[in-house]
Parts: sequence; structure tokens; C-alpha cells
Amino acid sequence: MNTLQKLEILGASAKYDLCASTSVNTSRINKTIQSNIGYRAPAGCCHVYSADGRCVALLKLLLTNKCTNDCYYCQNSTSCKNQKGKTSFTANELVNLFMGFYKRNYVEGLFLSSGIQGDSEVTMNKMIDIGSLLREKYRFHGYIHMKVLPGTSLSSIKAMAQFADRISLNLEAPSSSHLKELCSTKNFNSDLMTRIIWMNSVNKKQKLPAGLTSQFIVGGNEASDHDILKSTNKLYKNFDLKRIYYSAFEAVKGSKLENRINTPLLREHRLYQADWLLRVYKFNLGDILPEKDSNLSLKIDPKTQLALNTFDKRFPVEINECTMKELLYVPGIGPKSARRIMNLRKNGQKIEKESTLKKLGVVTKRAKPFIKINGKYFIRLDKWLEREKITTTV
Amino acid sequence: MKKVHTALIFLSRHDEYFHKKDEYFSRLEEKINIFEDFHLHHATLLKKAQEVENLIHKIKGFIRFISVNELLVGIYKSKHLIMDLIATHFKKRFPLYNTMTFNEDLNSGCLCLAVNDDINKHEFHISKKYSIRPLIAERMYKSPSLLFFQVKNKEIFYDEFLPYIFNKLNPSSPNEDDIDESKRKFETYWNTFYDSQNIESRTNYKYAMKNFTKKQLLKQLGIKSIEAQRVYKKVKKNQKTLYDF
Repeated sequence: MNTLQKLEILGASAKYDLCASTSVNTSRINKTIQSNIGYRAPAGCCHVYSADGRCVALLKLLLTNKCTNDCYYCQNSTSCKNQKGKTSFTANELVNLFMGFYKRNYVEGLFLSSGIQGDSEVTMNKMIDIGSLLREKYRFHGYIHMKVLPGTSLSSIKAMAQFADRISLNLEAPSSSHLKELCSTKNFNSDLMTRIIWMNSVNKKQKLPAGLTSQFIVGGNEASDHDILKSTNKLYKNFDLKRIYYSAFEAVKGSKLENRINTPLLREHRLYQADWLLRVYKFNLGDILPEKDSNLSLKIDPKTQLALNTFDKRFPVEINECTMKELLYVPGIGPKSARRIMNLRKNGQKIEKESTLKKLGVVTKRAKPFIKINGKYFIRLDKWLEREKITTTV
Repeated sequence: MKKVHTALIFLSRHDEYFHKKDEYFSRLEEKINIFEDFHLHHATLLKKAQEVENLIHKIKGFIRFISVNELLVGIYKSKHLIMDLIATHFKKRFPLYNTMTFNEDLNSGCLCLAVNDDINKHEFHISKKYSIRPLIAERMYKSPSLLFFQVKNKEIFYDEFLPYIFNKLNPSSPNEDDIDESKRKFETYWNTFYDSQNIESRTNYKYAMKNFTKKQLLKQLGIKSIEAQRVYKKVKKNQKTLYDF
């Protein structure tokens, strides 16, 4: 099999792994090392966008698609009937291909994952070899993202962290019982959670420039948004993960879960919105967590939902007097526009008109029923709900 | 204040506000005097600056290089004076390569010499058709590595200037067929990889068009997709056009 065919098969196998970001914490990069090629920037760079609108910044490949694991959702699993040809890259082949792309500015960095061929330790070592080849022989100073394979040892995670900017491990499901619906060979606690704990301890010592990430499959099993968000919060708080990615379940032909219904992409989007509230707005989990065994509402975004639920307690807020935290709870006001409002007030100016708010970046259409300016209301909540065609019980 | 400063620097590269000369740093002070009532224009200025900044960011990603031995050549289009900002980005990225970035709109660009290369080794010849000299900001160094060049028109760049630089930097440069072949090889590699990354059930042209021009989209996805064109017409009505690269 030639390189072109391998690229086609192993590229397609890696497409469900999510990793758009290439930004790094530049203070954590060792600047004394002289590089021959490559450069990492605090803000990443997109090199092309795919037809689904997502940015393709990294050369996303599997080292091999031979795999002994039996994950029901995956095309490379042993139980899948519709498998493509099994191949693997040699280290030199992959590195030459990548350097060719990087030199011509096609990609920003390398994303390397792998199927587990035989023993996970052996495959992991092959990936580490590629890392060391790039960093030591080619003196590559750009971005590398590598996947930790389930069931590997602490020492190999340490070795991988030497070469990679970001390491990640896909949890796929929030708990042991949910994982059993998706995979028969992986054990949630011993194979996955222990590695996350180890990755955290490695990250504390070696200070990875782009931190750790993980990924969940949304749908395909019984796990609700309640479980996923709870698990997400735990990962952020206890294990210092930088980001969690969510991937809506999609039935792969020939796999065991072929007949399951695909998850609507909107559900994935709502989870990302809730995730954003946790990470950037620093909301408490209790604020946005849906009831047990239930999902986030598909009709309304989580922040508006929260505002409607707590309307009597919090709203409407007085724009010229409230605190930063109160501002952040208003739908249509984000961290940026909230900071602008606070800055304006610090300078002794007052907001008088709705148009001023618009200039500061507030989406007044959504914020209207939740705010008042100098005691003046804009619109009553029930009228607003009617106009926006939102039907919920407040 | 720092933000205002960067805004001004980017603004000085905005052609509406500035003449097409490379001596913009010296004129920056004049600019600040012009905008004495700066706070009034604060938002619009920042917005304009942001536009230029976004364009630079986009070019950094979308530019593609042709590799000839240790020389990388990339072409882009922009109406702003951003040649040096693009060049310094790639100087950091490829320290051991000579990189050449050419702006087709302004018929000028930057040649960036590799770290181990010395400018004093090469004596660049200046003719009526093209000029090449160190960038103003670099003139104080003994061996400046960032050179600014200007050609009369596009044709002269491809026919005369580019071969001249090839010969100057790599006396043993390979013939054109080899360059074409390696270029084509990586283009097919890239297209294969690009196609493999697409998840069909998630196809969303509307979203893709936020970042693409029609030309780029059709180039990437193939003209076959009539649907893409249809959606494009709908979305593009209210959107600003980006420059094609």
C-alpha cells in the first residue's frame, strides 16, 4: 500500500477525534532550545476549513488502524463488519509526510492517535519514537498533540509528555456502567480513570504547554446530559483538564450500534454552551445542571433557561448599579461586554440609552426583559416570551 | 493604552489612511497627532484595526509555500502594507530557510534570509524593474535579514526577479520540472487528506462560508456541488468580501 492510500484510510479513521485548538501557553515552552523548524503561537492558526465548517489546523492521523479493542461505535473495532484495509505508517514515512506539509504551511502541527496493535505499551512506544524523532532529529519546535492509549504505564505517559504539547485520553462515557454499553474490552476505572489521574500528576510536574483534554460521546448509550456535565465538572475541578470535547454519536455502518439513532447535533451544541458557562463564566454546576436522567433543553440555550428559572430571584438587574457577577447572569451579556460596562462605570459615565448598550456589544434583543436602566423597564417577560415564541413554564 | 497603540500600528497599514510607502513607522507620531480627539473614534478605529489584524491572521494560515531547496516562496493578495508582519511570522517559523512572501496587489514583498545566511555574502543587484533593500526597521543591524523588495509588475516578478533570487541563493537549484512535481505531489496528498477529514452527515456550507470566499470553497469542495453555490448566494448578500489568496 502506498502513502496516498494510507493517508486516505488513516486520515478518515481519525476524523472523529476532536482537536481544533493549537494555542499554547508560551511561558511554558523551553525557549533555550534552538529550533530548526517550527513555532508555537499563543493564538492558533487555521489553515483550511472543511465542508462542515470546522477548522483543519492539524495533520490528524492514526499511526495504525489495527486494533484489538472492541468499541461498538468504532470502525476499527474487532466486531465491525465493514472494515477498510488495515495498514500502519512507519515512523520515517509519517515524519517525512508531516514535515513536507509543515514546510509548505499546510498544517499547524501534528495530531497523532493510534489503534492498539497487540499491546498498548508497544504501540505507545512507537508513538513516543515519532515524537522523539521530530523533536530531536528534526528539531521541530511546533505543535504536537498525542493521544494516551488506555492501559499504558505511568513511565510512558511521562515520556510522551516530554515531546507533546498536549496529551489527551478519550473517556467516551461518564461512568463505568455507561462505558459498558459502548465497549466490552475497556475498563472505566482501571484503564481510563487511573490514566487521567496519572496524566494530571505528570502535568503538574512537567507543565505541558497546552494541557490535557478529553472527549465524550454524546448519545449512543443511556448517559444523559446530567451525567456528562457532572463528570465534566469533576474533570475540570479535580484533574485540571483544559477542555472537554463532545462528539454527537453517529452510527457507523457494520458496527454493533449500527441501528441506534444518531444524536441531533443541537444536543452537542447545548453541551458546548453549558461547558462554556462552566469554563469561561465560572458558573456553578448547580446553576446549569438539568434534573437527574434528563437532558438540556433543545429549544432554549442553558443561560436563558437559567435566567427564566431564577427570574423572581435575580431579575431585572439595574445596569448602572449591579455587580459584575449579576451582569454575567443576564442573557445577551458576555464577559467582554460586562467588562466594558464596568469600565464605563468606573470612568464615572452612566448608561442612559439602549443604543449605548448595543455599542458595547450587548445583544439587547435577548437582554431586554432581564435589565432596567435607571429604573426604566423595557418589556415584560411574558410579552417577550410571546414575541420570541418561547413556550416554557417559568 | 497598549491596545490603542497596537490599533494605531495596524491602522497605519490601512491604505485608506496611509500612502503606499514602507516608511510607516516614522509617520506613526504624525498619526497620533491627527487623532487628538481619539476617544471619539475609539470604537471605529479599533474595528478598522481589527479588520487588518484578522486579514493578517488569515493570510498566515492560507498562504502555501513552494519549496525549492532551502527557499520557500509564497504568494498572497492584500491591499494593506503588511508585508513585514507576514514575513516575520515565517521567519520565526522557518529559521533555517530563506522565505519569500510576495504581495500581488502591491507588487512588493519580503525576502527573509535564514539565520545562518549572511546578507553581505550576496550582492543584490538593483535594476529599473525591481529594487531590493533592507527593511527600515532592520537598517541598524550589521547584517539585516529582512529585505523589502518591489517590482514593477507581476510578470517581472515571475519572469525575472524570482529566477534571479533562485540563482543568487541556490546556485545548484533544481530544474522546474522537479519543483512542479513535488508541488503536485503534496497537493494530491493534501487533497486526499482534506477529503478524508470531512464528516458527511455534518456538512454545513453556511458555516463553512463564514471563513471562505466562493473561489476558495469551490476550489476545495469541487464545482459539482450546486447546493454550495445556492447557499452561497443567500449568505453572501450581507457579508463583506475577503481577498482571495
